Amino acid sequence: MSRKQRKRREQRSKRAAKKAERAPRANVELAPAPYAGRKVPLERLDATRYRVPQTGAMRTHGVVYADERILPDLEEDRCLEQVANVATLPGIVGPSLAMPDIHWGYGFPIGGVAAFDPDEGVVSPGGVGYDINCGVRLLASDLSAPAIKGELSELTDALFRAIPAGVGSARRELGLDPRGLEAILRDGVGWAVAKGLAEAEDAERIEEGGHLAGADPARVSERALARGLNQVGTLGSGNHFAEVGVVDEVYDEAAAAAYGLRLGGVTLMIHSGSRGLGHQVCTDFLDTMLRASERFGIPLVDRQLCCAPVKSEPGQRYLEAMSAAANFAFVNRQVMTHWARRLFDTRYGARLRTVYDVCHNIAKLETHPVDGVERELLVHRKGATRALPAGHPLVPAAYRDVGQPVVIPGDMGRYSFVLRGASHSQRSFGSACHGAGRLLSRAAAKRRYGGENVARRLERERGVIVRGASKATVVEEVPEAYKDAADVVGVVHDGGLAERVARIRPLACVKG
Amino acid sequence: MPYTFFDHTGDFGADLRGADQGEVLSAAVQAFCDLLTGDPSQVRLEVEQPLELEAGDAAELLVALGNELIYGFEAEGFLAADFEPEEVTPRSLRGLLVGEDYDPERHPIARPIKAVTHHQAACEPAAAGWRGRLIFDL
Repeated sequence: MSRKQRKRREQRSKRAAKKAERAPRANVELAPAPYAGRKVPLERLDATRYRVPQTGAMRTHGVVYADERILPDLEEDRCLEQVANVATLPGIVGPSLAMPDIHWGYGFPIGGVAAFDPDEGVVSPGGVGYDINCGVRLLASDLSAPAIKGELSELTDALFRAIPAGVGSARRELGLDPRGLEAILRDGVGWAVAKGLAEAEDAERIEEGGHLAGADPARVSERALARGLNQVGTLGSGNHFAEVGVVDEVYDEAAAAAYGLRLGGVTLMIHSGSRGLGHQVCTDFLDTMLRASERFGIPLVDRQLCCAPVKSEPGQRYLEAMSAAANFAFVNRQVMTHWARRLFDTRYGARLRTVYDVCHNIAKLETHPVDGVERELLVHRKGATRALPAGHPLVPAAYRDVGQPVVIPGDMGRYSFVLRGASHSQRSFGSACHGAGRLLSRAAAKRRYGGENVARRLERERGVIVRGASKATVVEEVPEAYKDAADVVGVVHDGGLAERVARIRPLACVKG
Repeated sequence: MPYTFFDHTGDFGADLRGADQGEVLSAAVQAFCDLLTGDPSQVRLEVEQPLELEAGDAAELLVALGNELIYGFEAEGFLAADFEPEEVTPRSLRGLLVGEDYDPERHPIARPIKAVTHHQAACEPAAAGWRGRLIFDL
């Protein structure tokens, strides 16, 4: 050590020691992955589906929703290997599924769906993801686009101030204390209704009514609570956004009318999740599940697929904690909705009505037909959207004749879509895609577009105003980093999982 | 630099190098700081945070270290830029995280890091020294 280094070290202040108090962790030996180091073969089933053949430790085959336009993109990364890896998990029912926006994740692919028998199967935190109940809420206003056209820049700035975004974003004016946070984790959107932060009809237009039963705040660690305490009502970062848009195409007049969407109408879409709290719950339970996998003798081909039997003690503990984090995410989007409503009311005297709020990252007990028999299954959706058809009892009464709204955000330059759940979603355990899906990695997007001012280009070329907490994030979220959402939605529509209702063009976007 | 970032579709991964396991752990902290701030030279090495961790193996230890960095930054506002190992085994570490308290006025944040993943996590002897791999969830 040089004199300079020694002197600098002597000048350092020293904190109290930190010692992580955890049980010794499992030492997990990985089993061979089914297609490790090999190209995954795909067998065409029909115009929108390909089969991943069962091999090695796979307990079932995989099914990937794609067409000729999308297929080459899927072979660019390792997502197809991950479809096969998920098929190795015990108690999987039906195929390991991938939606057309699939891309490389951790353990599960992003865009993966898998259902498990509650008695024979497992629950895996990696099948839900770090951002538990990351999801999207669509709101429709009574404004028409010309009313805001002249002041888009000011509106975007105001939205950026109203919804804290980016690193360290916090919302302290709620004055939440640990008891308040506990109530959020337990009651979900019911907490927001009691606090006057939600309208009466909001809850019925949120998946599961904005509240997962079985949530137990006591299962959420002190670390997770500490990370979440001041984050209720904040956007976060990465691909999260709040976006003002306009309905520029209506494909299904009846469904659009039922959803309150009209050509030229202004919308607001909020994409966010459970913030640091959800990430910490996932982190905590990955440790638990690594030990559980060893204890229950579950062979793993990827540590991120660690899991436990659904009805085991660790399995139930995870579901209780996950449900609490999911309730946090519902409230997070609700509180952002509240502040956006105040903004639209103050500026325009306009009302924002919830069209629907869907989960992207979740595991839930649901009933679906398997070989003609209704079965209760634990459905994992990792980057996928529930898409229930018309007539399903879980679709809100106001939408039951047309089906559940399926909100599919695209990129911040082109368009997003609203679909309605359709009958072939029975093949995918009531699921459809959740977005456009990445085409370029973040690093590739940075290499290709890092030298330009992406926000300025979007304003000049497409008239979209973008405000971002981080320039790097805006570059990495450049529209060209995503597949064309129209292609992805086309597969879902043609495959009969969900049908197009309307298209929304972005006008203003706030990024984390 | 003892680390190289590689492409992961939605996120970033880091390949780490060192003469021994302790240097790979140090490289992980430096990569974390680089990814988070985009300019690690702005972070002063003026605060020491002693740290002890245990894990099942060296790869799990690397993931556990990453989790400490994220929690320390998000919940305690401590921005770690380096790690000085004192005693490291494949199942435990003791040493000093070195950095400073996060100052939004002075520290640029390029991209917040939300988690580190077990997917492809590795820390093992290589032909020359040790190698590691960590994928960060952004």
